[in-house]
Amino acid sequence: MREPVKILLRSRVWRSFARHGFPDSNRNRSLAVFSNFFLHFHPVKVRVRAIRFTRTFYLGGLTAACFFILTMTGFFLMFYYRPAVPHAYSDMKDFVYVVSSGKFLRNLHRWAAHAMVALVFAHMSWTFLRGAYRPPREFNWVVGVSLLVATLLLSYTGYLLPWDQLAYWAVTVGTNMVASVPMVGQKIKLLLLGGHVINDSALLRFYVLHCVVLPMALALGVGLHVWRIRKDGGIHLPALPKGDAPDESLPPVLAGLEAGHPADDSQGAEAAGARLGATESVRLVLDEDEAADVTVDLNDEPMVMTFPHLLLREVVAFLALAIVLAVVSLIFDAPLEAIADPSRTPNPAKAPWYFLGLQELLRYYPPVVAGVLLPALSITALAVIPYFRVNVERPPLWGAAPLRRLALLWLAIAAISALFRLGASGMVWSIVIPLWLVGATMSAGALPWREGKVGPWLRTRSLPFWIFTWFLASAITLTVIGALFRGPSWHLTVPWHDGIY
Amino acid sequence: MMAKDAGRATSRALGRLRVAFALLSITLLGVLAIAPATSHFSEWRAAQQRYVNLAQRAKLEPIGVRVRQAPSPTPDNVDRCGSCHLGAAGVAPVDGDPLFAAHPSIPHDPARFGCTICHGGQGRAVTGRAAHGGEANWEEPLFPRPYREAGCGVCHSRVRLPDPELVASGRALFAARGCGGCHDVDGHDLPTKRDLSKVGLRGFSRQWQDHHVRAAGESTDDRWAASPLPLGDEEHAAVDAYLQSLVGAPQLVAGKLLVARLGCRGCHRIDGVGGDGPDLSDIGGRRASELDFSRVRGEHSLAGWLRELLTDPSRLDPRSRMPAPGLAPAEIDQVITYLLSLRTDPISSAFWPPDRVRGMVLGERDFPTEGRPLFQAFCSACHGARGEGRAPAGAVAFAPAIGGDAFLAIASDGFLRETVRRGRPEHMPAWGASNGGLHPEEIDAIAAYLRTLQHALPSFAEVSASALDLARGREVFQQTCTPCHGERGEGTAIGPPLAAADNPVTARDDAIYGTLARGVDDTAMGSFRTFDAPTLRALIGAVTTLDRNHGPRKDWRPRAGDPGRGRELFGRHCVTCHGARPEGRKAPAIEDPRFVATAPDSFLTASIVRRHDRSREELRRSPDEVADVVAYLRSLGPAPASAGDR
Repeated sequence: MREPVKILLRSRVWRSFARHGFPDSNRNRSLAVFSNFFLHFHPVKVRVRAIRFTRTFYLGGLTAACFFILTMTGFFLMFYYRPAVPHAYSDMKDFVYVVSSGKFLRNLHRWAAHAMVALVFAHMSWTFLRGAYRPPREFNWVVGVSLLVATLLLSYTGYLLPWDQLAYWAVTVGTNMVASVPMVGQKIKLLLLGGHVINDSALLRFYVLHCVVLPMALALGVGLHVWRIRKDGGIHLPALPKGDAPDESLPPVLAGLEAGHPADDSQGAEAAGARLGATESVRLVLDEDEAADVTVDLNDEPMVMTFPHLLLREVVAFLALAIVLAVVSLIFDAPLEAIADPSRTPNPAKAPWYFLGLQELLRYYPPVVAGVLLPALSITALAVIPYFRVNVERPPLWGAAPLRRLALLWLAIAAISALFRLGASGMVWSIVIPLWLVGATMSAGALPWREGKVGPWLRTRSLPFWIFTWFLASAITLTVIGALFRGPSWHLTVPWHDGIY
Repeated sequence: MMAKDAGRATSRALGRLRVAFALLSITLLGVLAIAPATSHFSEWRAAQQRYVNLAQRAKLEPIGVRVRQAPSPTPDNVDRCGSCHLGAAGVAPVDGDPLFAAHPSIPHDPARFGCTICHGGQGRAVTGRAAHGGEANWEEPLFPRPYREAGCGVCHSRVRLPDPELVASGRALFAARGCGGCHDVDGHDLPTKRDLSKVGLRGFSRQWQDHHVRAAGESTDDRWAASPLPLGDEEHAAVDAYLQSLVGAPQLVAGKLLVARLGCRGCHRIDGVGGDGPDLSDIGGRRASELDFSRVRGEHSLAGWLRELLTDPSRLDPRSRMPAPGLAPAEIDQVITYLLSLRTDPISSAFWPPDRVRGMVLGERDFPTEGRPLFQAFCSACHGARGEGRAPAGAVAFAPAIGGDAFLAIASDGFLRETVRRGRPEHMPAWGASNGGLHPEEIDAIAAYLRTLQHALPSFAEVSASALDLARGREVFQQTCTPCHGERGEGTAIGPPLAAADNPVTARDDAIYGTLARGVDDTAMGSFRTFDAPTLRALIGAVTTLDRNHGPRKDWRPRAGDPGRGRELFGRHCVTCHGARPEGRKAPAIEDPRFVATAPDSFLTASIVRRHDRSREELRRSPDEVADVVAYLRSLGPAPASAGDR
């Protein structure tokens, strides 16, 4: 098989666009990557540790793969969809019934969108918990947060396009939340809707945002995001102790979570970054030795060629994602309710699931707080966390005087609980109970553990880690309650009894 | 880890990855092929393939296999039913599958009209279940077979139909005289019979009887000998009405006529005309998802809900004031057909047929505006088909018998009109233009119809010819006239002197007769029409022979009563039956300013004197006491603006 292929690959036609030979030598493998327009954002060699699935679960790549699927299916949808009021809904019906494979493409677009939002949250959380936001990667973290916002906006603008009851009222809820921003809220709503009510102008505006503006912004952002990863020396890995092999006794999952070798950064973050950068330098491998599958470089970090090790993994991950999404799209239909009717408000009118947490908060706080203040604070907090060099040095939380610190912790928890009770129409259990659970888990770190893995691990987690965990748990709880346990007039329902609204 | 070990590990991983890549690629290709395959092997394609096979066998032209669609005036604006229902899409029909049969003959062309406008369902869908409206969020399912004609009514529910009684008698005549021997009214398109099933649409000559007679004379066909003609004028009108109702939608027409006959609009409003009950103008547009089916025994659809309601209204809502209509199942189906067709905005006004434009734009009536059909359509549900009164189960109070002499004798035409126009508080809706929506001339017609229900006196000639029995006459005078006019006709607080020497009326027989026949405007003197000729003769004789020498003079005036005394009297004698609710159950609660504002003093006086069972001691009060009670009632509220007039 190889011989005919090799002859083909030596032909003039092939060589006119692919300027390398069959990638059976390290040189050709290098050229296959960096002389390729589409692939050259990869380095030529990658660290073995970096490409393990359990390191990052490929979440970033899967998110980008979702975006790719969305763009492709989006193109097909754009051939038929008209963003005008009576036609939008009719065109959705035509997709489902008349367009060849229209139902499948539409479903795929919808489920890929949900998957992308879920994956982007997972990617952000995992990146945080791995500590990959720490200097020198602070700005890339901010870029990532903006990509999160862009993804949410993309999903939100796309939500309106089917022009059914679900779309119309979900967008109504969202724009009303936006309108509660003091002073500029009404203007922002006017800008979003192109008018005072949701009608043709809003639809066209959302269509342009969804199909042109936001995808371009996202594409640029993703490019920047990936480029910075390269400049920062590849994905963040826990530093290797000098002369030791990497600690493989802990599963990489936990090892990746801010590997607790406190003294490691003695040389300072910048130097570490520079060192890693040197590892990743774009150096051609000039030897023709096929057998050298793994090279070892200056820092004793085993590396492998991107082609085929990383690329194959990426392709397999993409295929797996595509298969899962395709199967889901074949089985489950994207919802399409009755045509949008401004005179009939469904009860309850729910926002898209990623905003349901905010809508649940609206039950307790006025719109300015629940819809504007808390989300803005959360996003700002997310963005600026890396700039606080609070825990670059990571002394264990419970080092000296654990009792005093415990008392301080629980005082702080009590104060925060009281703060959340202030101005709320009831106790916000969805936020406060995760707080207490996180506090309890933190306090567990102070117990005298026998030597093992759990104790030290608990003891050495940093404060931002716990705060982020609390944030994540609250967000998930709020979203789950809003999605499953709220019915008409936002009363509590029991899903296995009353169904899911 | 040594490089070599790392190398071996990564090589193994690479091998596994290559296998995974191969398997997953094939799987993905397979999965991606499913969607186009499902798209291709669709229901409609299979149906059209079947047609191609059948057409081939029948040696017909083959057709192209593609989605077929027709424009539709509904908001959905495209109907793809023809993709499976090829016969209705203008393709040559074939035998062997009901799907490919031609559409039954209807006044509209399905290729131009689409299908969903008449049948309901989802036009844009091409799968059977979704197209027939079985999708979760599609709220316009196909009209079930028994209610098919509701589709006609979606546009045509405002078709004007004649008086239901007339139509019914016309139908009976048509059947009894054997017109069906030559004429078909069911639209079966038989070659041997002349089709009358849509004659109401096409229009017909009112001289059809003359044509028949002439044709019978000229023809040699024996069947003319069995011709049922000639018909009298009334019978002719009845048959005309029946023919007018034949518009090709018998179930719909029957339902609309039933609604008119039962008087549903006495409570329910349709297009702004009707009582104070729930508005039915858009009942066909109610969404099944907004209805409560917990107590519905039948299917959970709008038709099923209506069926439950029409069978037993109190089952759906125990507090409902709607009486059970008492209809047979077939009649319920007809009413449901009509109700399902009532929509306020089914299609754009560019497509409205003339009857809808006439009704909803020009404000013309879609019901007959003569007195009797009006009474039947709007009053009979509460007051009875002949005004005999009714106490519907669950109603707050009874509806009085207004078709009988007892009431009509004391109610002037003006009083009737005013009561209809303004209604009675809490018991009767107002029917004036701004409430019930009836025009003044229609209210006049109802009042005139009620007047015809009153007993007719024998003619004056007949009365004059009867023998005079003065003793009898005096006896009748004693019972009938003295309560208001005094023992010797000398006049009282409420009734003028009959015995006055200068009373022009009581001097002449024909004047007395006229007064007894019609009563006196604006007074408590109602009519007295229940006497037969000899009794009238006797009574007139008694009045004319009254002693006129000591009666009061001509300038008699009725005396206003004392409200204080009247209040006391009312409390003692009247309140047990007439008091405020809940006591006022046996009789109207009249101690109510709103009631008093609808009744002039004359009516109150006449009611007290004449409408009670006079055998009961406490109800026989003197004229002074009657005047006092009337004064007390009047003190509760103002008199109605326009007093009675005849």
